[in-house]
Amino acid sequence: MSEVARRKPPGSARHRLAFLAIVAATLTSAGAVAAGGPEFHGMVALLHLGAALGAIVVPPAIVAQIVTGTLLTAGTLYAPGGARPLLLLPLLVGVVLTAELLGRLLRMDRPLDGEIRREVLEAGAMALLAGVVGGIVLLAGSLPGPSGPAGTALAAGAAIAVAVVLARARQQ
Amino acid sequence: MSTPPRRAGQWKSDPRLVGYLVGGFGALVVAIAGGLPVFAVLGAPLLALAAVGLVGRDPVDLRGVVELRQIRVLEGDVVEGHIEVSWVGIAEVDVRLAGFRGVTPIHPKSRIGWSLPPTSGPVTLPFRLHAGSWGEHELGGLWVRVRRPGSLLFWEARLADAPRLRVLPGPLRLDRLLPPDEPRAVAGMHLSRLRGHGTDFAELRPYQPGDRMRDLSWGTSARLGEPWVIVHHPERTGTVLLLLDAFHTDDPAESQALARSARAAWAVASSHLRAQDRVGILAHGVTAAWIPPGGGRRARWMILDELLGVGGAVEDRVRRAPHRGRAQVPSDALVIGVTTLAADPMIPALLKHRRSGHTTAALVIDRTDFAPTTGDRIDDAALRLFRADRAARRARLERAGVPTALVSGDDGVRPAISALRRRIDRTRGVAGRAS
Repeated sequence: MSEVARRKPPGSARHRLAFLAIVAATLTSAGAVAAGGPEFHGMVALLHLGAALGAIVVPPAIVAQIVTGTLLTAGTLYAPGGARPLLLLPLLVGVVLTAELLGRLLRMDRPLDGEIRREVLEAGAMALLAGVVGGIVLLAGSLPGPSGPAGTALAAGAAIAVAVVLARARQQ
Repeated sequence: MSTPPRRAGQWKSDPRLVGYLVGGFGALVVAIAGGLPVFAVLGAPLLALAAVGLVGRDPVDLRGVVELRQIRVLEGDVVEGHIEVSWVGIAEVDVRLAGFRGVTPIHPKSRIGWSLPPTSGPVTLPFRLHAGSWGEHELGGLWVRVRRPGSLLFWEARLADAPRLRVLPGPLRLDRLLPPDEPRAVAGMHLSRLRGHGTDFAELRPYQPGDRMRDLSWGTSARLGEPWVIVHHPERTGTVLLLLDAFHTDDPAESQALARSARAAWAVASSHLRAQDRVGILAHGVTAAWIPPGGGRRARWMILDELLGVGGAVEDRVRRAPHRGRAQVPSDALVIGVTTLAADPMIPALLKHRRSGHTTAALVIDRTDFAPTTGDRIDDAALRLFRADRAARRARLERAGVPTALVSGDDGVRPAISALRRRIDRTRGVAGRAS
């Protein structure tokens, strides 16, 4: 198979992808800390970074990275300067981008294409999807319509449906 | 591509799926229950990613097979093979051959595995292995993981077992054989003590009625004035029993020594089989084997199978079930022990055969060259102690009438056989004179 025959030695692609994931995790953690949050905010940022590092070796640590990343992002809503919902979007994109890059490392313990552009683009597309869905929900919150729990669930459900439709269209 | 059988597998989830579900539901529950709609901005995207990841679950109809170009190779050979995998639709496929022993991957390096980009099957993936250690080796199983592009679920299955690879010992021909005790009345290569038709001169004697005219010595008859005939020693076959010491621990030096023992045993066995001898094998230790003496190609293959089994047992690090039957050693058998003399049971075993009246000899396999050379005084002292202990064990055997010869290095079988042959001849000469 020519695609396989052309492949470069393993290792370098994995290292570069892991490096990008750690850069994304570091930027997200640093951004969240800079945005401010509750007392334990710095600790959560460290946990997020640690989980990202751990996921390179132990893949199930991705769960911890996503959960701590979500907590970290949510923590910025309790910043001393007041909540800035718009800031949630770039932080969420950073968390998802880190998780997606780490997720692609799951395949990378074997010889793989030395080129990581496809993996990075796919991870970027998923992070963008998360940002778009978050943006839709944020936008829906400012539109007139039902308020309270019903409004929240409706907005979230609609955003998820849009995401699935988009993903199916991409697969087709 | 032939259609390989389909094997059962299972769907597994990517850790991201669990993370997205936990993070998404957590944030959404806080948003709805806590009346904090802004948390939905976190929950909804994560749940959307989980939902997208659950989309690609259509059947993959995965099939695969591992094929080797050769299943019998010599030590040091390169084995070529390929993996064929087929599936339905476009998918990201990880292919891996796992659990192989006794071989080293050359291509792909370090592991036999591929992560293919999204593509449709079937694919053929060539690989090359280096058959480093002799024995019968399992090449493990073919594991395949398939996921649809973007999916957070993957289908994982062990699709096929790889064929077993038989790595035969390298060719080692011996130019000398050990003389069996009482050669049998079948034409072979050993000189019999009997006299009869053959090619080696035994004596001259006066003609007796019944002697063949072709045996007349015309020169002697002319000189002495009466007919004299030349009598020859007939060449006969013998019976050889190899007593293989297969005791070993997890010490790599012992594994290497066992490999050297089996290599020596195979060299002796194959040489005697070529000489039309009947050869049997009795192994004790990590694996047990009993092949009664036999000749011809059948015996050759059976002995080789047993020796490969010993090699496989060493690689597998699995203790095989001991041999249950009673080994019936023919009375005329020459018993050759192939041992490092490190295991205690070997000396009594050899002495037992000697006491039973068998001509018994031992090829003592040297394993000191496998010991790491650290230059440490304690290591040096330990090595000297080991050598002294081995010398004492050899002396014990020699005192009991079991000649020994040391096989040093992988090429040491030939000189050891020559030395052993001289020792056996000397022992027999002494015994003959005594009687």
